[in-house]
Amino acid sequence: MSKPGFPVDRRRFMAGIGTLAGTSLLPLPAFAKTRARVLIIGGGFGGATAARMLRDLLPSASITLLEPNATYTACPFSNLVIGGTRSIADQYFSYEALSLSGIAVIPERATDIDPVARVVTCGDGRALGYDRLIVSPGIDFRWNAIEGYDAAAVDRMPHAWKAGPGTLRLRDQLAAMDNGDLVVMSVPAPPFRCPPGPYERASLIANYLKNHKPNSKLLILDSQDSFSKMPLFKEAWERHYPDHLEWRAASQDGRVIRVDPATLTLSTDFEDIRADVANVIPPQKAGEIAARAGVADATGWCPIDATSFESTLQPGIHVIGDATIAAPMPKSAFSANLQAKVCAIAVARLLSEMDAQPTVLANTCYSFITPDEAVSIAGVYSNAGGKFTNIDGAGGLSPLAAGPDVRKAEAAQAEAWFAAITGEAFG
Amino acid sequence: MGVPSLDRMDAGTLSARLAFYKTDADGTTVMHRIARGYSQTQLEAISQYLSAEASDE
Repeated sequence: MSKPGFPVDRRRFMAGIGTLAGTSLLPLPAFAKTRARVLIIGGGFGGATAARMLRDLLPSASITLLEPNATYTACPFSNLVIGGTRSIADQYFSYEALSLSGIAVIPERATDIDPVARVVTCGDGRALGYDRLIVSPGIDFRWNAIEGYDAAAVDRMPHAWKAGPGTLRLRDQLAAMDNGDLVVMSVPAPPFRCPPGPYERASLIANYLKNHKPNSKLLILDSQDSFSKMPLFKEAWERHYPDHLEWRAASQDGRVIRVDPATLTLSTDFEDIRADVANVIPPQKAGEIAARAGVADATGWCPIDATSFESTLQPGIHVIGDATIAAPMPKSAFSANLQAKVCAIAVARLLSEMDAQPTVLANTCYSFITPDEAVSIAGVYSNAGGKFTNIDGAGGLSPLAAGPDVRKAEAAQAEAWFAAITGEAFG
Repeated sequence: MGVPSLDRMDAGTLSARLAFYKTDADGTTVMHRIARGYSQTQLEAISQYLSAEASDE
């Protein structure tokens, strides 16, 4: 099958067959020469990939992407920016290639969705009709779920959980603090974007402290008692950062319930802790437009039929990426990319009078434990019967007690993955 | 470690490589963890697809 314009980088084999599975396992029929209008909200790893895939699958259809930012700032690898070993410029991607391929990229925010009339209103007042809508809104934050942590608190206590100015602010606060100062990170209860992300960030902050502020320490106040890749992280912390990182579990009074940005104080049930740099990762929900579209439920996240990615609340609207309820698939760029491909095929089929078909999906999350060593977790999933399930016997963690050569090899594979995934979405 | 190029791999070679990962105990890549989630038929379909992509160029 030929799919001009969709760059599957064969040199990036280590990106994993999972990234290709969406296109591989389904024999693609000749889709109807539909002139349907497909609208995609959100140009992250999910939305950008879905737009490109649909551009190729449905050459006669109108494919429109609504994304207010001219530049996309990628979250994966942004913890290396915070740790001071990577430039933020390496995180920036544009939508030029998408525009050139015939996708109408509209630099506006979607402000309202009428699921009955099938019309989306943009920030500039324009109304866009659609036959199928794909919503890929990522996450937003539950302000004041931690008392005192609202949108105004992010300057003093950056979350840096959407890559961008907050990433640089946190990096700069670490660079500006004195040797001996205390860094505190607050981790929310799940579900949240990138389950191993806080612990990768903690590793890279500890690495920065060890090398630049050796009398300083990072304290992690956690709302969880266990976490993604925990044995691998704990092994790495013991080995690399015994003096620079302390993790406090929820059951050890680790849960932050209140903050005071003015004094950089984080409060648990029993203690007030004064930080010099505070990274508060707040509780999360699906990106705001999901609630306005009526595709988010009482949990704040979006229930979907796993086979078609169609909302179980609003027919004609599909949801992909971090905003979805897709457990056991994690909220990751890898998941969003693959869900986008499978969703695009489902949308193309539905617009061509065919049913969505189940397939096999996968995920890999790499995490850096030092700037040049990484560990990974992988999973393989079925989306048959409208539900995501683990495929038994597959997936798992990098081996424990592996030498630096293994960890460095995984870091190189992580780099290859980043190049492949960003190439597919934006390159 | 190097990343093998898929450009010159035919479907048979690819399929054999992917099948090998299913039983590979080597822990240095994610490939063996992912390959175990796919049936032989599915790995063959992936191989067919990738080799067809490569020969398009």
